[in-house]
Amino acid sequence: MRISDQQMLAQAQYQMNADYDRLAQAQTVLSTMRQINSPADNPVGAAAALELQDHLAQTNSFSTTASDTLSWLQTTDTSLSSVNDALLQARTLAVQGGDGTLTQDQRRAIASNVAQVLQTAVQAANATYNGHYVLSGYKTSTAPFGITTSGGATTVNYQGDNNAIQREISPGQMMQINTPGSTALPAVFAAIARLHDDLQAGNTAAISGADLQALDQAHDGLLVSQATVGASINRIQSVQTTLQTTQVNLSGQYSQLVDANMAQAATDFSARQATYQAALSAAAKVIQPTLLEFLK
Amino acid sequence: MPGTFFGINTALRGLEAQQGAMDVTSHNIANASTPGYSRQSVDMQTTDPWYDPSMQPAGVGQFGTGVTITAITRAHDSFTQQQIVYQNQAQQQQQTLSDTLNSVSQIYNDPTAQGFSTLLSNYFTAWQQLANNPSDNPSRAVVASQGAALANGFNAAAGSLASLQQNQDHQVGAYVQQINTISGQIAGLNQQIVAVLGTGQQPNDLKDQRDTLLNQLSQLANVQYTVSSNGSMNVALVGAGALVQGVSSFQLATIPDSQASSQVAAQPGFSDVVFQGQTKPLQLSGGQLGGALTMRDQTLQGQLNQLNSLAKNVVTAVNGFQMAGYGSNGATGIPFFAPGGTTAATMAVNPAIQSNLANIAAASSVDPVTGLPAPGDGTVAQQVSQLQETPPAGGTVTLQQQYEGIISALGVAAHQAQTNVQTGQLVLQHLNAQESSVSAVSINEESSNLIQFQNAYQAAARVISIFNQTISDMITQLGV
Repeated sequence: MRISDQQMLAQAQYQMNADYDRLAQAQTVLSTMRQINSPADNPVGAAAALELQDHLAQTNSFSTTASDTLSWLQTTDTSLSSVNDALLQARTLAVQGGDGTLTQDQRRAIASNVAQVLQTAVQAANATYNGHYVLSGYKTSTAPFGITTSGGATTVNYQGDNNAIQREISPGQMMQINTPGSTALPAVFAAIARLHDDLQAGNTAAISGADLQALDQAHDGLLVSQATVGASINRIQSVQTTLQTTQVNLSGQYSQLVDANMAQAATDFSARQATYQAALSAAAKVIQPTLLEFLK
Repeated sequence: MPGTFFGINTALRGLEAQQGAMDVTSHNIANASTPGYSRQSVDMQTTDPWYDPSMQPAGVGQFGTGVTITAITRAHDSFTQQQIVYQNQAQQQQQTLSDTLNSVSQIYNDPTAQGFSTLLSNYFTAWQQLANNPSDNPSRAVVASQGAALANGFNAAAGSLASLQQNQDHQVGAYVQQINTISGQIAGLNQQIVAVLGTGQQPNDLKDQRDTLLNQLSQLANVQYTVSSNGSMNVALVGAGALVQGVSSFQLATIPDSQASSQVAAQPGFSDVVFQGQTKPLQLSGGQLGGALTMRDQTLQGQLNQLNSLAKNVVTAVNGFQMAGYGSNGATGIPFFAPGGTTAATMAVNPAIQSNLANIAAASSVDPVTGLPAPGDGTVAQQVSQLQETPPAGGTVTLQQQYEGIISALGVAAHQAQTNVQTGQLVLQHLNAQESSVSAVSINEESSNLIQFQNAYQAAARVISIFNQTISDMITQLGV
């Protein structure tokens, strides 16, 4: 093909520009340390990276929810344990008070003990987490239990509702995090309250009979609730472990997709720099002597 | 026998021819770096031979009478020129597309940590936290402010897209003016070229000028051209009509698009391109003008439409749940996003929400006695946050997946355009090399021609001097 002087120059310019362009791209990768700087760099990868980003954000959010839920459940667990302790104490007092050899004054002394125990138990049941009552169902700003006395009858009223607080702890998985106080506790408090009233009134037969039975039955119900809470705690802890693993995996995948391999980026840059410099030095020699120089 | 001074005349013709050839060569060398210049060469031909003009010619006759330059022609490959004209407009169209899509990618700034998708996911995370703490005021404040950030993000993106459209619209006017100038110049050159051809001469430099103008025009729009038998070049806009016909040029103009006319532009107020004096908008593609129109009306408008669709889906889905739920003050039916703002540019958080955070609906029911929802009820907030995983009502993909679809399509188109631009540059490079190979000046070639003509000139001059001597001898020796 016939080559003209213009063509030599045009060719050199085109090549210099092309090499400079490639050098600039390598520099962008090196300075941002990312392979994907715009969707055009890797369209499929960019969409996948976005999805990973979203999942990671969701997983982080679920993680926060899970640890919040764990604290809630642990508060519930502590509360129920304290009620359990109070119940056992009441039972001991019931056995004591059922002794037929006691005087009424002694029974009244025991009754006032039982009253203390009841108050302790109700206070434990009114536990809060972060300012919310954990046993009130949806009514988290209302204390679940209140003691009222009228005449010789002590009653403990449940002031919460029966709603289950459901939280999403991982995609598509809902978990009930609360135990409404109406599940097992009214029986417990009713038994202790009756024990108190009977001690106060001196109904020895009831104390060692029906009251003791009621306490035992209430204890069984409470144990079931505690077991459920324990199972929930196990579940949430296992979910937390899974979420942590997921976080690590997602971060790893994202990094693999988007971040640049330092060694490769630096090598690329050096290689393209060398190519560009070669193009420059070739361009410098494009002005060749013509025939005129030799015609004298 | 031919006359005494016959030989001198032959030598003289030789001298003149060689001198003319050297003049043409010097013209070539002077224009060695002129863009668009086609090298010229002389056609030398022997002049008609002499013979004895009688009924029965005596002697051998047919004495050659020398040489003359019959034409100065330019080396020009019109087939390659056609290819270049076509490639120019295709390349400019792709370049415009690539630049525009790059600008759009920067608007969304994804995938990075400061991109649009982070706004979306932060918004839904805020709802999740509210679902965990429905009675918590700080959580409500976060939801409101993330909502405002999201709405601002949509507004800003829509604003940037609209301003890109405006830019392209302004470019349309500029390109139309350039086209008008060039077509006027081509018509003027046509007149001159036809006049020169009429006298039997070759208007090589004028044709070069006209070809350069044609190249410039081909970058601006998709044109077709033919060279008629009298030498004038007729240029037409593909799909629209004649720009240059002989010595007349037809000017283009822009008129604002109105709803009443056949709406060619994407939005009323944008410029339609018409022939001056007419109102029918032209459908143009190719070149910088076609590129600007396509970007404005199809590419950018398409991006805006997709963004608007996403905005509408977000607003509809969130408001749907919100209006059915109850705020912490028992209020219901209050949408989170202002109900009139269903496009990306008009999306905004409901002022009723911003002025009173209690209006944010987190609960799904209220106590019939107090009219207030239970403080632990976060079911509606939960539903809104679940828009991260479940498609909104009537949809098949989640909101974030819809956004990913937008980015993915953008990436594919941008990548394709970049590849096309690079390929196109290679093709143009190759075509230009081909054209150069035919038309460009090679100094080596010209200088060797120069030597050739110089030698011939010297020889002819020597011949004249010898003839002079011969005639002088004849006069002095044969006289008395």
